[in-house]
Amino acid sequence: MDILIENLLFRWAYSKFELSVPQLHLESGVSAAIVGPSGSGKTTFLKLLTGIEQADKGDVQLGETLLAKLNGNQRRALRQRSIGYVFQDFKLIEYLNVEENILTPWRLSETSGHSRVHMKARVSSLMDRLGLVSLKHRYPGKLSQGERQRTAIARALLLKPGLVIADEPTGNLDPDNTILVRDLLLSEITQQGATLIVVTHDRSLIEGFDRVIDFADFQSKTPVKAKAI
Amino acid sequence: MNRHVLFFVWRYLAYNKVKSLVLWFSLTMIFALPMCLGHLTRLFEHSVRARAIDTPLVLGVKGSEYDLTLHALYFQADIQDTFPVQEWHALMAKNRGASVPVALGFTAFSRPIVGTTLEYFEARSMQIQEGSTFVQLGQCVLGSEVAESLGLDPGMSLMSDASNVFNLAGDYPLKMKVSGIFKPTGTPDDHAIFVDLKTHWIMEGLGHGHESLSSSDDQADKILQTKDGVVTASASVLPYLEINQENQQTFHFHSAMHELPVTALLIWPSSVKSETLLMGEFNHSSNRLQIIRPLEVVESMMAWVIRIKQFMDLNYLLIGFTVFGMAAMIFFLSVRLRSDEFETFHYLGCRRTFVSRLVIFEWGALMFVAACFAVVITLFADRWMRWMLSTV
Repeated sequence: MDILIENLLFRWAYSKFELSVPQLHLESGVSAAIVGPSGSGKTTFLKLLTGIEQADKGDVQLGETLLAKLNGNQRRALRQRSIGYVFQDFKLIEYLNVEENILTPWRLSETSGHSRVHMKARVSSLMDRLGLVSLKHRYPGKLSQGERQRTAIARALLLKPGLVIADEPTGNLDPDNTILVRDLLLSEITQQGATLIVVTHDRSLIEGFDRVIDFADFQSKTPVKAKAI
Repeated sequence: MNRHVLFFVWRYLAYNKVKSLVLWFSLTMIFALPMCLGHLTRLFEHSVRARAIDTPLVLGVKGSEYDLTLHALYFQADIQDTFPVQEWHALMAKNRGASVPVALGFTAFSRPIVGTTLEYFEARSMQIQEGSTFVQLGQCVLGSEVAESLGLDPGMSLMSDASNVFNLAGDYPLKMKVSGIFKPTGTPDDHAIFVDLKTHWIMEGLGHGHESLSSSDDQADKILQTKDGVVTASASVLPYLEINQENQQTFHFHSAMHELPVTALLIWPSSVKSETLLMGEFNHSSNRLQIIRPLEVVESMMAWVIRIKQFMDLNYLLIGFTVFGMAAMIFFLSVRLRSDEFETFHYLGCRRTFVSRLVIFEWGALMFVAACFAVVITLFADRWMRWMLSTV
């Protein structure tokens, strides 16, 4: 999924924080790492990209769709249909087991059009690739950090989204698992042909990404262009 | 989509078993207690009133109206004071309506034995299911519950309970032969054993049967015998404990029949005028007897029951408010604790209404199951109450 951002401006209410992205273009199938210090607006950027928050000014275009022209329901439907989200703290549902957690996007999606049988097969395939088959009946509370992360990745990939966003996906992992998760994300996304945006403050993670975007440049009163490393 | 909502509801409730069970139990009790109380009070009132309506007047010795009503209609309270059966004969002669004598005081397997006449069954519209009504002394007819619980059929026998095992000169248990069994009526009649008045008097020791002492010259000498230094009483002075074809002719009463006692008379006056006249004749200070209207007595009892029910209703209302307050607190805390989960659903693109449906379905499911169980509890309470009412 092609991503085009122009003259994006966002301010949190009652805060001096301002995020300004004059221009950013990510081609379909690209993997990009967004780096920057805490508070530089990385997570806010992801929320703007997914339509959870709306920009005060500027355009965010996902594929052919301009987010500014969509209402709340349409943005929600787009998020459901085209975006996979891997959260910093995984956000797995504690009362669902691994298999049920992975199936959650399908259960929430009324327009996916996928049959239960098809989804079961897709879950089996994802669990097989991510080494979760033996854990399918286990609840999140009984999983290790790495196992939870893999479950969250499988959930994000379930509906084959065109864009996968990962917010600090390795924030809670040790160095070995960090590399494992990065490689896993990159290989799965490459296999699926989706665009991947990973937000991290860990610069050791950026190796292997097609592009790296430093967000320190975006948080300023004077907008600057995205700096590619 | 709703089936997926139900899936999440089910998984949440199943995962949080203890919380779900506590909530379900609390809600069930809140639904069931007032539901049961209301239903049982109505059932009690209906049943007790129905019996009282069926029996317009009761004649008995002056004393507690409640005791007389409970005694004559529900075979419950014990009444020591009796009056001679000639009062019944006198009443019949006045032709003021139908009346049936009742004598109570004995039990068999703790079931009341009711001494009465065949007219009782006609007045109560009781129908025989097996066998026949009593046709001779010593026979009894059983209420349906008695027959079922004791496993008795016509032709079998049962003994009356000994009223005083240390009183050798008093009454003895009588072996009664079952002549028939009544169809169930759902009234205290189902739990009673009916005998003829004369059989009841024999149980009281007012009549008895034994070998004739004049049939043989040496019988009198056998009243006391000495054998091997031990003095024994002759069988000829002990009364028969069973009345059968062979010995029934020997049964006799040592007092005038019209003086034998009954404990109550059930009266169905032929008209309002007859009823008024009867009330006037008996209810004056010089008469040792009284006539009561059971319906009035029951209604005054029900006034107390209703008052207690109102108090209980208020009590349940307060408990209900407390429990609902706690449930609301649990609800809001639960929603707050689950804010992360709901936010995840939002990020994953769920509909705006999904979370509210999730919460509504969850509480709806809990309340629905609680209400179903409350109905089941009420049905069980209904069966128990019907059984209780037929014994009361």
